[in-house]
Parts: sequence; C-alpha cells; structure tokens
Amino acid sequence: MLLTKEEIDEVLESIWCGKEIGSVKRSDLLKIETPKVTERVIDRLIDDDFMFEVRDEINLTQKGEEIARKLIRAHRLAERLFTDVMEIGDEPMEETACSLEHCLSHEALDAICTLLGHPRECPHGRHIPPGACCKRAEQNIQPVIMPLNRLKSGETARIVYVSTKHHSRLDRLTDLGITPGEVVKVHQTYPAFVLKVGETDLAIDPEVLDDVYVRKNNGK
Amino acid sequence: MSPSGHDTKKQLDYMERDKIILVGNPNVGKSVIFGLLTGKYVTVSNYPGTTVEVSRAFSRFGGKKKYLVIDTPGTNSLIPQSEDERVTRDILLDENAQMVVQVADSKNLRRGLSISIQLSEMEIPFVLDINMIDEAMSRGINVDTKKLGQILGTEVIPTVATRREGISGIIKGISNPAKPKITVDYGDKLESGIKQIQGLFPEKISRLIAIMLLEGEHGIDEWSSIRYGKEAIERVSAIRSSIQSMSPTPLSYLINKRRMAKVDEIMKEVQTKDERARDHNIAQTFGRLSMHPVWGIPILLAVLYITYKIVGEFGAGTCVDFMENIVFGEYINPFLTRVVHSVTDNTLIRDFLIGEYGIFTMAFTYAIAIVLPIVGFFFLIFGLMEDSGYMPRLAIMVNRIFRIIGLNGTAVLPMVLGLGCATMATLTARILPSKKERIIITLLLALAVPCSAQLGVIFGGTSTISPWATIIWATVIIFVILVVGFFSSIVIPGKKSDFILETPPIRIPKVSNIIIKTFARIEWYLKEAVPLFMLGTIILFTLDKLGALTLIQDLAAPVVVNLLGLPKDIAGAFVMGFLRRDYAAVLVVKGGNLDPIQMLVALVTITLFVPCIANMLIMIKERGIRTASLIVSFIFVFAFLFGGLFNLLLRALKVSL
Repeated sequence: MLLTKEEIDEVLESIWCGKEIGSVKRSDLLKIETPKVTERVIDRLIDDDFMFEVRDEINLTQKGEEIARKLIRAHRLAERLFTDVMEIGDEPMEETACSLEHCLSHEALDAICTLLGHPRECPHGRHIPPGACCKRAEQNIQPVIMPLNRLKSGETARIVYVSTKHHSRLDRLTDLGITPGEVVKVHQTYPAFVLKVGETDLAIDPEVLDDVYVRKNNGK
Repeated sequence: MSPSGHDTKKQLDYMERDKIILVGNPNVGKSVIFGLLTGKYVTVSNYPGTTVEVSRAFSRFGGKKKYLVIDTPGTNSLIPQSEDERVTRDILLDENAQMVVQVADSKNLRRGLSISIQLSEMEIPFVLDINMIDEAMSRGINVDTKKLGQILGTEVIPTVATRREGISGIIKGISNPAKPKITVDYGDKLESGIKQIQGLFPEKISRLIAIMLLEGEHGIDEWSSIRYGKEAIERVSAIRSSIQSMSPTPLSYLINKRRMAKVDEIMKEVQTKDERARDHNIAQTFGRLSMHPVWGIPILLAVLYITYKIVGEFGAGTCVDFMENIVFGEYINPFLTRVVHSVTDNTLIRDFLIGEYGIFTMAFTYAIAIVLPIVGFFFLIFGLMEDSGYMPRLAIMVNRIFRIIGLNGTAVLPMVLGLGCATMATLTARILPSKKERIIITLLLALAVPCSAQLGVIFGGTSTISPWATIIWATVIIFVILVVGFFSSIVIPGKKSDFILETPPIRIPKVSNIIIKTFARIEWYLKEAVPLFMLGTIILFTLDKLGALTLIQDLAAPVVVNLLGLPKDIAGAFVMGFLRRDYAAVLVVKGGNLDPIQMLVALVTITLFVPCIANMLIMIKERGIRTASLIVSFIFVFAFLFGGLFNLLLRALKVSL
C-alpha cells in the first residue's frame, strides 16, 4: 500500500502537536478522521522510517521530524500572516492555512517569516519552530518587521501588529493608543523605553514591547 | 405599588436626573473641573492616577437646579483593566448616570474619543470638554470642535481649566444635554453576539453593557448576576464562548480594534496638525533630561539634595528648633504653666496638663513644634514634585531597582508619599494594578518606610552622635526594604504587572494649587495626628500614675534589655509606637539617655516596629483584616529579631560612634 502525501503529513503533524503537550500513543493516532488513519497506515509509516514505536509510545525519526517541523512552521506562520497582517476572518484563515502548509517551499516560508519579524508564536499562543532565517536574523540582518524593543533611541516606526499572547497587556496597550497603524518615536531605551505615541509620552518596560511589532521608518 | 409609590418614583427620577458624573482619561483635569463646578477642593496634580477616591459634592449652576457632581478616577476605557478603572465603570453602572461630563486632553483626543464612543454606546447624554486646548495649540494641533460636535451629536467645549477658561460653556452644555448618536459596526460575528445578549434580558440593556458581557471581564458577571440572576449569566457565557471559538484573537481586542478604527476616522475629519509647530521649550528639554539614563541621575541627586536641605535642614532643623525652644519653650509652655498654676492646686490636674506626660507639654509640643514643621515642608516639596510632572520621571529612574522588590516604577508614588505619611500612602497603593504589588507596598510602608516626622526626629537623633550613625541607619533601612521586598515578592503569590506609565509634560506648578494642596494635607495630618498624640499622652500619663508603666517595662524587659540591650524604661516608647511611630522616635531621642549604640539600635527597631494606629486601620480597610493582621504580626516579630541581631552585630564588631 502506498500512502498519500496528505496521510503522511497529517499523521506527522499530529505527532508533533501531541508531543508539545505530552506523549503520543498509537490509539491517539487512530482517532484521526480526515484522512482516516488505520493500523496499516501507522505500520507503513514506521516501515518507511518516518517514526518508531517504543513501549507503546510513538516518536518521530529525524526524517519525520523534519517534515513535521516544516508543516507546523508553515501552518502557524500562515495563521500569523492572516490574522495580523491581512485580517482575514478566522474560519477561512484556518482552512487556507491547512491547505497552504503542504505547498509552501522553505524559501517562501522564510520570506513570510522575515516579513513578519520572525514571530515566535502563532495567534493561538503555540510555538512556531524557528527556521534558518530566524537564526540569520539573530546574527544581524534587519528584518522588515521587528519587535518595538529592538529600535534605538531617536528612531520612528509604524506599528504593524500587537501580539495577542497576553490578554490584559494587549487591552492596556490598546487603550493607551498602541494600535496598528500608529507611528511611534523612541525617545530613550534605558532605564525604560520612553515612546511618543500621538502626543502622549509613555514609559514602558522593554519586555512588554516584545509583543509590539513595528515596521521601521527608514526615510527619517 | 402603594399609592405613594408613584411619588417616590418621581422623586427618584428627579434625583437621578440631577447627577453629573465626570469621566475621562487619567491626568486630563477632571478634578480641576470638579473644583470649578462645585467649589470643593480635591487633590489635583500632574500625575496620572491622583484621584483614587470618588468625590461627590452638590452644586447649583446659575442659581437654578441643584446637581450632585461626582468626580471619578481616570480611566482609559469604560471596560476596566485594573482595580481603579473598575471604580469608574461601577459608578456609571450603579449610579444610573443620567448625565456625564467627559473631560479629554485636546492634544490626545484620540484616546478621549475612544471613551466618547463607549459613552455613546451606553446611551448616556454627555458633554465633551476638550481641556488643555492651549497645550494642543502650542503643539500645532487644531481641533474643529463644531464638526466634532456634529459627528458626536453632543456639545463639544474647548477649555483651559487651570485658567478657568470655557467653564461657562460646560455649564451651558449641562443644561442642554443631548444623547450622542455615534455607533460602531463591529462586524457580523460580534454584532450577532451583541444582539443575542441584548435579547436575553427582559429589559433593554445598552450596547456597551452587552459588549462588556460579551468580553466578560472584571466582575461584570457578578454585577449582572445580582441583577438578572445566575441563569442569565450562564446563557451569556454560552454565547461568549461560541463567538470566541470562531476566533483565536481575544474578543476585547477585536472590539477595541474596530472602535479605534472608528476613532481614527473621526480624527481625520476634525483634527489638523501643523508639523512645523515644534515647540521645544525649556520645560520639555528638562523633562527629557530628567529621565535620561545619564543626565537623569544628577538631576535626581539634585532633587534629593534640595529636598534634604528644605525638609531635613530647614524644616526639621531650623524650624523645629525655633518652634520647640523659642515658641513653645519660652512663650507658650511657660505661659500655660503659669495659667494652670493660677487656676488649680491639684497636682494630678497640673501633671495631666503640664507635667512630664502633660497634654500641653508633651502632646501639643510634640505634634505642633516637632512634627508639624517637618510634615508641612515635606508636603510642600511633594506637591511641587507632583505638579511639575517630575514624579513619573522619578518612576522611570527607579523602575529597575523597584523590580528587585517585586514592584515597578509605578510604586514610586506611594513609596515617596510614604516618606510623608504611610497612612496616606497606603491609600494610594490602589494605583498599582496587581494585588500582589499592593500587598508588598503595604508591607514595606508599614515595616520600613519612615514617615517624614519620624525621619526628621531620627535625623535629629543620629546627627547628635555622628554622621556615621545617620549613614548606618539609612543603609540598614534600605537593606531591610530590599531584602524583605525581594523575599516577599517570591513568597506572596500572584503576578507582577507591566510597567506602563504615561509621562505628562513638565509644567510650571501653579502656586495657588501648591498652597491649597499643602494646606489640605496639613489639615488632614492635624486632624489625624493631634488626637492620637493626645490619646497617647493620656495613656502614658495614666500608665505612669497607676504604676503600670513599670509593670510593662518589667514584662518587656527580656526583649528590651536582653535582646536589644536597651534600658528597660524605653519600653514606654515601644508602647507609644502603637499610636504613632514618630512619637516613639521622639521619646527615644528626647528622653532616652542612651549611649550611641543603644540609640542606633532603638531607632532602627522603632523604624521597623509596628505602624501607627491610623495606618493599621487603613491597612485593614484596604487589604482586609486577614492580610493586615498577617502583616502586623510579621512586622512585630521581625522588628525585634532584627533589632536584636543588629545589636549583637554592632557589639560583636565593636563599632564605636
């Protein structure tokens, strides 16, 4: 029996997600409905060296893990892109993300990731596996969009999106005028960040600004 | 309904129609407007979050109707993010507000309009006061008030409240309230949620309440379950989760985003900005420098030095000296002594009034001559710091240090105010957003932050020994604050909050406001302290006459003599520490006959020892009886153990002063 790409992808992804919160058993995989996963599908994946089973627990092989990582990364980056930048509704977003994840190349993924400023979490708060571009970015290539706390004093930037990870922080920032589209100017970065938003000066801890992603104004 | 029921209802309606509630973002001048409308003074300063308590006052405008005006703490949203923001929402919900005056900062209109929209969704008639129009104009910001009025469907009045400009416009607007007409389309999903929730209730609920229920935060469920029953809330929460399940983004964010989009749309219509008008005045430059990582430090030191010169040297030195030795020592007390002697021969009465523990010779002399000058000058300086806008800059400078003790820069206000009066400061702890931080600050204020009166007396005492004594005392107290703060931030459960603070522009303080504020605080101090000083003296007097003082001294001897190495009669000072800590310090310094080491140990222990009665009462009121008694028991044990340890250390190291 030959497995379809869809079957392989779906099982590997499920294992990755399951591993994030605990361990994965054969019985967990048998619950997958679309596409229907049977004992034979699982056995075949083990035979093809995508995964292995040790004492009831299923683990990914290196080959399997690489595929899963790329899929998860693609899915979660796509979600970020749709919610934060394009503001597409949530049901169409999920659907599109699901189909996109199978066809994006590494290069395309890295481009999206760079555009978004190498986000670390998806809108649901789950970890996005970093790609090669994230490692390079850390070394010093300026991303197009970056967390506000990477700006230096005197720089101005436009807010692109605010991460929704911390709910009450998000509401507080919004109320103070830190919303997508606003232009901020950094007055100083130490002992706390001091920003000018509209005509208000705000003093904020740098950690908080990790959640605010901006696009730097290079003109000024 | 009984026949008279109709009349009662009519009366209620009348009462309700007469309520005016002041609402607005922090630091926009609500309290100034409140003062102008009612003639009643409430503390005003250039610091967001000055108003933590709600003020109410009746007022009559133009000799016509009588209104009840209510001032509220500033808020950036009627949907609250913190305890103090909840107050405003709860007032709006519970008072059944019929009329709101919204005060907004003209140069930050965007944030004001977000509240205007919420008021509109609450379906309350309001007048929009755009205050500080002078500051907006000097920054080249121009607001088309007429157009804004048309868009909102309400009166929009530009004012400069501190110069009383435009107040008559507000009064005119109040007599002619209009319900605003502005609505926001939140998109199909959210709108259907709002409709479903509105449909659940028998009576009509406003859009804003429906939105609050949809977001479901900060006690709105409790509020509505009292009104509409548990069942209604269960159905609300079912709707909430079905809407939320369609989106990974929190509903509140989606709602805010739509609202802000509407605000920006309005802003484009009404506000123009002349980019050339960049006013760089000295005040702004100073404002930037005072929070600069390098220049901020010399400025901070200069501020501390000036404060020390004025409060420490002039207030606690020169003025106290003059008041105590000349005014009271040479005139008032000898005069009273002569009066008492001529009136009565009864030694008991004589002792009660002018004896060692006499009402005049002890209570009044201490309260007025020793403590009042120190407290008065401290409040003056504190007022200047508040009104100039230096306080938030100080918060930025100390933020990193405060992080060590589980707080952040926002806590600087209660901390510095605590140097004036811990009781007042404990009340201000409400501006801190998390419960954990409020407990830590309450503990530190009660344990280790000396009030200005105590500080003055202590400096007076240590300076007679040597400068080293003052330095050792201060180092020990700062050490205690850092260590206890650090460990309590680990032990006390809860989250620390983000440091997000608005820094208002540096402004030249208004002399009249400083004077009014300082006197209001001094009055508050006198009302609180003098009766307690008298009570303390009476207790000491009674204990002394009954011979009970010796008994207490004997009972406390193991701790006082063996642990702290102090003479046993100092126990009286500790007893008085319950009443006021400054009073206890006075007793140690003035009447102790202690050697330098004993003086230092006694002063450190007294500084740490239990807070005064007033502070304890406020702790119970603000933090609850359980937390308050835990804090007090901890302090009681800690002060003596630490004092004992300190004593042993000084003796072991053979410190000589």
